[in-house]
Amino acid sequence: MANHALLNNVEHQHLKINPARSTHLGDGVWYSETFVSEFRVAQAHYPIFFIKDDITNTFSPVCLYGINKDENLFLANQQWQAHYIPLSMQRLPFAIATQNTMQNGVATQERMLSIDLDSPKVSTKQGINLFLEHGGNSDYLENIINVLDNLHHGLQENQPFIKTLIKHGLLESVSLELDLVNGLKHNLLGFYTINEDSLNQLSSDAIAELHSQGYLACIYMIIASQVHVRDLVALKNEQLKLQKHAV
Amino acid sequence: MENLANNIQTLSGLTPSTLPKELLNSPVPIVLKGFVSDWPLVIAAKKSDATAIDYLTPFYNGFLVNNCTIPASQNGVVGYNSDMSGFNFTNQQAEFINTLEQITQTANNPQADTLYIGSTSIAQCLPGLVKHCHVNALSEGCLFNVWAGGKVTVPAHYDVAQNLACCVAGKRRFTLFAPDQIDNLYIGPLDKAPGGQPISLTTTTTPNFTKYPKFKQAIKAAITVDLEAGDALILPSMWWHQVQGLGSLNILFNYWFKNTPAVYGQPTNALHLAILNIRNLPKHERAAWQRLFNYYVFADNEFTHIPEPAQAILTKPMDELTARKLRAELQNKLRR
Repeated sequence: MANHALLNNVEHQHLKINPARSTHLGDGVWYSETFVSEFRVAQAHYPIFFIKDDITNTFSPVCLYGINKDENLFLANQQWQAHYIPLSMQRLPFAIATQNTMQNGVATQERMLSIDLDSPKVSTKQGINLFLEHGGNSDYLENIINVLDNLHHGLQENQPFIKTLIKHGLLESVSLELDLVNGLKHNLLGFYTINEDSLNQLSSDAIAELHSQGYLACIYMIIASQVHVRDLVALKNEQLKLQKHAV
Repeated sequence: MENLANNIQTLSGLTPSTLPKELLNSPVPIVLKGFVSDWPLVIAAKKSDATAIDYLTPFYNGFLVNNCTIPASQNGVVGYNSDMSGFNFTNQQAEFINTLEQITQTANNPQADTLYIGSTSIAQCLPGLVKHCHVNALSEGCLFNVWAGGKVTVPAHYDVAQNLACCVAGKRRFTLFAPDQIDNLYIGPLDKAPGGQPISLTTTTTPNFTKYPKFKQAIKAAITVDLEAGDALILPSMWWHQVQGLGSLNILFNYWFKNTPAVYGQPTNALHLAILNIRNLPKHERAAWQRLFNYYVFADNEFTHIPEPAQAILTKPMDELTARKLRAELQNKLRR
């Protein structure tokens, strides 16, 4: 379980972060949230789908890293084998905490950095220092602050985008049947994607509106990103072959 | 009252539309008698607390405000608990109008706890009222806040911003101390203060001259001003002021403004930095730094012996670009 604490340079002055990426270090995640302005770079590496939170009834765009729960096929040799890691994974083991404060009598929401002290990435022994000798932020920490800041602003782009997709009936659930090298078929269920039939039937006014909002390009990037499902299958098959040889 | 001899300029007949801008920058406090006496809120408040609350009610949008409670044992003085590990009041989020009603119900009962609502943005809780409170001479960027309470005393403190303080309900006594009185005021912790500004550990209402003997001298040098509903006070930046509510519902509207460009940043930062960097040096080194600070910062020296472009950060006034560069440089140097 996560054990988040507000980061400060007194209690946490000696903490280090292990920059390696592995399942053991908490990176074994099969998807994570992405956002509208991240699509351009994310679609070059990962399939982008949508997941639905059944409790809040809201959709979020995600990058897919595996085809089974807790499986991240990009992890190998203590590294993430891709040229781009989405911000929602780069940020680990940090998160943004918000605190309501009064600044000069005006209620303000202050954003603060929190760290998951139970993350296996965190120790006082191994990795990159969070703080400099006299308590200043290290470059690593400054970068994390930027990552979380961009992520925080980016995630706010999602709901207006999703609303527009729903308005035009462009979201549909998808089930993919994947053929694996061991002869088994694997069903990928529970994700949503763009309904291309609905897209093709949109009026030119609707298309123009999507274009002016900057959403049309996003829609096509999401569609195009699905070729990467094949990459996931290929990575999975390689893994299966290695396992077979090992046996 | 021991200090009636200490005079203050009192001007009558000025209103929010006729107040000249220059007066706002006065280096000494000025009382503006009846400045906002035409405001419907003030007229209502002069009738009764209830009519003042009735006037404010339709403007209230439900925003929860910070309601502070001082136990009756504290005589209404805002301050610290006995070992100064915390404050002597508790706070909670509460409805604005309800709290005003509670204030009027308890203010005259010495056995009751003392209530107040600390500085709160008027735009945030009484948004419709803002346009009725326009002061011509003030620019848009000023901070417009309400402070309401019963018989509360806030010990002497300073504000970095200049203040046009308007008493719109009840009666408020300001005890003013010029900046040179700091040695006599027994100021509490710099880093933990109620409302953010360091406060004196004693007051004129509950003085303890055995513990704080020099406070006598501060009282001698003080100027006491009573503001009735409708009166205002121009309070220069950095003047120490103790503020005491005398009525059963005292409402103050503060217009905080600063006429120096925001790009120069908060002087408090420089003080804290100097406490970190200089205060811990040996005495003779500090004396040298005192000279340097005086030469570069406090004396109005011109550096004409340096060709103009080479004066760089010594050019006065500093332009925005130089200010930004200097800030970035400092930021980098502080990260170590």
